[in-house]
Amino acid sequence: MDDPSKAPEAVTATPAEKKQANGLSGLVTFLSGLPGAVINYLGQRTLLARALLLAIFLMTLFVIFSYFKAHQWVFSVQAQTRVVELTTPADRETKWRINDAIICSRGELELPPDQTALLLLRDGRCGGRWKGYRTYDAEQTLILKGAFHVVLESRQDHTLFLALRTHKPADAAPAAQSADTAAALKMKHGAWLSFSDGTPNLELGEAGKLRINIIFPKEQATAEGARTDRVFPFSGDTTIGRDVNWAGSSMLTQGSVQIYTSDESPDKRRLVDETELLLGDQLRLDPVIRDEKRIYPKGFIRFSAPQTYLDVIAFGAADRVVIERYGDNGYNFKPSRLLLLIHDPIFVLVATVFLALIALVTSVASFCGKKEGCK
Amino acid sequence: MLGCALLLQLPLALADGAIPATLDGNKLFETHDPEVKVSGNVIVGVMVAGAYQGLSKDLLGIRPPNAGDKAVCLKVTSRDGAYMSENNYGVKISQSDIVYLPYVSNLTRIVEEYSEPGSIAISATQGNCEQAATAAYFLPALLNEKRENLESGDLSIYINGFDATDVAYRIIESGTDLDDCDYIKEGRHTAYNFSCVIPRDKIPEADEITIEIAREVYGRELDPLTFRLLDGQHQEKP
Repeated sequence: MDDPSKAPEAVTATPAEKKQANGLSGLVTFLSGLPGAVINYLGQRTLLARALLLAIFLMTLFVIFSYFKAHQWVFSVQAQTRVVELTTPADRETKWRINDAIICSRGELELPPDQTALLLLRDGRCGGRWKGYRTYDAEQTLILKGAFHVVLESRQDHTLFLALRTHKPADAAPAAQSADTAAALKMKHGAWLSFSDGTPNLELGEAGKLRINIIFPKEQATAEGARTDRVFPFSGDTTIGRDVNWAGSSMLTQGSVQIYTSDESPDKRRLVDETELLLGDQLRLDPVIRDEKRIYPKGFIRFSAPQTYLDVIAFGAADRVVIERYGDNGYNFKPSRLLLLIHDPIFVLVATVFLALIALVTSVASFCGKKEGCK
Repeated sequence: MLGCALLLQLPLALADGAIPATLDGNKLFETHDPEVKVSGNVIVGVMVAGAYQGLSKDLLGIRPPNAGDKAVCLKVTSRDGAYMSENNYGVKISQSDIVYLPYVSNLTRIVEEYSEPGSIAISATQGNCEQAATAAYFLPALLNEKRENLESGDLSIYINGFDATDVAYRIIESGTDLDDCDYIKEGRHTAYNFSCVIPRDKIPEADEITIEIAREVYGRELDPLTFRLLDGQHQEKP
């Protein structure tokens, strides 16, 4: 087979080269001479050994490429919680059915004179500083155009509350903000109540300020023994659960977060990592910015009386799932590169083929060795 | 040379400017623990909006309105609840004057991380920290480099609203309606989650004013909190 005395020159370094290799210039010299040395070395091997070395070299390159390539992954969340906070997107419309609810407004609503869909309440259910209205429209819809801060909370008495407030934007990436703002400018920003009986849409808030509480009373939820499900589809910045505090009955109860691959592979969804959520955890789902555009998490919230918690299902193309746990510093739930690599179907396929090739070459080499030939 | 010059200049500067308070103990009591604890304080900070800059620069001052022996409890709390300090100071002043509260942090790097407005709250209450809450707050502000004047600005109050959906404030002496405070949505807000900003021009020129904090949970009003704000008249020194 091979003659050890014919080892390539680049492999046996002289003392002078060793000394030089200690410095940066030595390293550059070594690297620049490496391809030639490899070719020289391969030239002295058998065909099988050459094929094997080439395969190892290509596989090494492929592993490095696969390890560092930008993996795409998606998360899915399912949780039971008493409270969810949202910020609706600046450039999109959000619609929710709010029939049979009590609408509490800071300041009186300017109702059309002959409308019958809303009735002013005088029972003080909304609180001293608020005006309360009862809606009798079976298809009463709340329309939000633009960014609003929304809190959905299920209280211990089975009442569902929705707090709707003007959103004050924080410092965000200027590029993304400008893209969002440009899209948002094409749409009139505001919140409206929409009616099905011909009453014109009613704009909520005044002077750019919006403070609305919507109460879904428990008697509505349990009337005639029927389950009344309410579903709130959403997209936007989302916080599920609340910081643990002394008054805190409203917190996340349980749930889980799964992360899946989302590459251009035959099976686009493979479970990469999973974690359980504990009582009191707070989960933040932030948008990612791609091509100067925000991609928001989306999902829906379901409230089914007489349950006292909200079911939340959320999905996102984000790598920004933050879990904040009491007594912990909070962490980004993000799979490691190695975990993503071993769940990459293309990588697994190539690695399998490579291992099969190695096995084949080894068998052939062994066979050739016995026959003393196969040069 | 430079050291001698500094040694000579520092007492002169202080003699002309703020009167330094004496910190109880040899060094600040401060902690930074990412494993945050739950706190029960509702009013977490009462300060001039830019006062947080004085923490890392050791330029923090107050202006008690009256002469006499003053005990001050200075509390600093980060919004995420990880950093906190609680220290007693003592000072004797003969008139309403600026008092410099030395704040030489052993965790300067960590304090500097809270350099965004609203990320750290300061409160300086009258009396020792170990005493029952007096509901009387001095107004911490940023001292200028020479520690002669306090920088002016809007008043920031940081509130731990717990489950409250709305928080509002009212200056009793002004007789005005309640003004809304803002919910802090961004980041972790374990220690406080509402910020009330009172514009400087809305604060009456008085040594003592009373501020009421109202809280609501979906419209249901919680018991209001009232505290006194003690701040000497803002006469800029020449």
